Amino acid sequence: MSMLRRRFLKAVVATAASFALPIQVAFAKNYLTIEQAQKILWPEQKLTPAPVTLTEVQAELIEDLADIRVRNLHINSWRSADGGWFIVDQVIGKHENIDLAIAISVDGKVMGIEVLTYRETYGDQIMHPKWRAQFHGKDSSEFLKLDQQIRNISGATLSCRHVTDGINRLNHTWSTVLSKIAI
Amino acid sequence: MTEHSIKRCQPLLGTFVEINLRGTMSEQALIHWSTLVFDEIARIHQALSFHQADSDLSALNRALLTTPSTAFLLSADLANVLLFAEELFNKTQGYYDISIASTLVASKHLPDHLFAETPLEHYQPLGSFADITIIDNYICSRRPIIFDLGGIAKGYAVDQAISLLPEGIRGSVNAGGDMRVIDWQKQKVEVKYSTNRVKKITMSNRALATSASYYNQQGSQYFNPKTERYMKINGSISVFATETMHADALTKATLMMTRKAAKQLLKDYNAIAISINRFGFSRQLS
Repeated sequence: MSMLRRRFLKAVVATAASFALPIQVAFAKNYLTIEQAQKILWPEQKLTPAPVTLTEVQAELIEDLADIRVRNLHINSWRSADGGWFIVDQVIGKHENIDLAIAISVDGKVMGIEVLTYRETYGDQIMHPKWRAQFHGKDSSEFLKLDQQIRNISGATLSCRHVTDGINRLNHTWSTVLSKIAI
Repeated sequence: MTEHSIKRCQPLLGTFVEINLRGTMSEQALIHWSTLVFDEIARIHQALSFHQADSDLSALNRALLTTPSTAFLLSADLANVLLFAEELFNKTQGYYDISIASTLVASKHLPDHLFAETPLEHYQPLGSFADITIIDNYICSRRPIIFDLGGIAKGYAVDQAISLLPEGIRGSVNAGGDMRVIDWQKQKVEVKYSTNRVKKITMSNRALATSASYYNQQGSQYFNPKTERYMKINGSISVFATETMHADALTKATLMMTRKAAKQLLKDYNAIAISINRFGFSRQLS
């Protein structure tokens, strides 16, 4: 009898603990601003906004070449004086949603990659208002305050494969479309 | 001069490398130092990567497969990491063995580019770290063998990169969970013990590494060379040490060894291990 009770109590404690103790991870980390990334990736170069919209045909071609879905036809890009590109892009992985900046030289070489914002996404957090706020621009002061502190997180290694795939897609975007745009 | 800070993150080492720097210097200077740290990590990654066929490690692996008994001159980075791996192999009575790479290739946890022409089976029986001799930066083996430096290369890259920073710069370098914090005293860090759970703990040394298997849907890639089985890790294990390379390797060694043996090993490296179970309860082993 007492053994049964003990087992029952153990189960109760374990169940309660699993609800009460853990902190849910719902975080986004902001690293560089677009302006800072521009200064780092294209130092001493004047960048001019040069947004590009892909046609359906171009997007399909890039999808075939890179073997990755093109989610957004609009390319958030800038042009350097010597014909290079600065692109801000979004990569969506299984658990992550990443804004990254990439610099591509006039001859198609990747000059540098910087992660601008890293958000981890999990099903149960998407309903959280603070969590949703970050997707509506960066004007949620409450959210930004949360991120003021530097959070150092140690854990099992997270693969950056989705970013690698995203860079591959941008490389093909350059070769099929951007490289053909005159300065 | 006022204090500035910079936070950067780049995809490197197959993961995300995060650099936070602060100091009473211009933002431009902090950008310069953070770029230097990224470049050093990228350089070491290039040299010690198992995945890249043109790395120093792949050259060593090819040599140890085809002509194991011929002495091979190690680069400074390879020598630093392999001498530590040898020390740990001896201290753990073989539990920590970087030559399990061949098993990981066979199970497809690692790529098989070394075996494009001659299959892995051709080289059987493969050796273990016990077959290795390292003298004056020359290495040779009694039997064919390959290494994967995995986590310790990552830890080593963090240690080397942070050593380039001048005094007066504070902050941290975090390479996919293997981290060094310059001003670590009284700092809190978060340890991820499942895909969406973290626990706050206080730093007790300047380096920290964590091992867990929650990201790996294909199953655990922690192989125990003694039992020849893959291990399942519930929750996570973190180690604080003075060097990130030590911390990373000690998480794996601690997982495999008995509690008593692990305690002694941690003591030898002045390290502390903390395991966090899936409910978030932590337990210290030191």
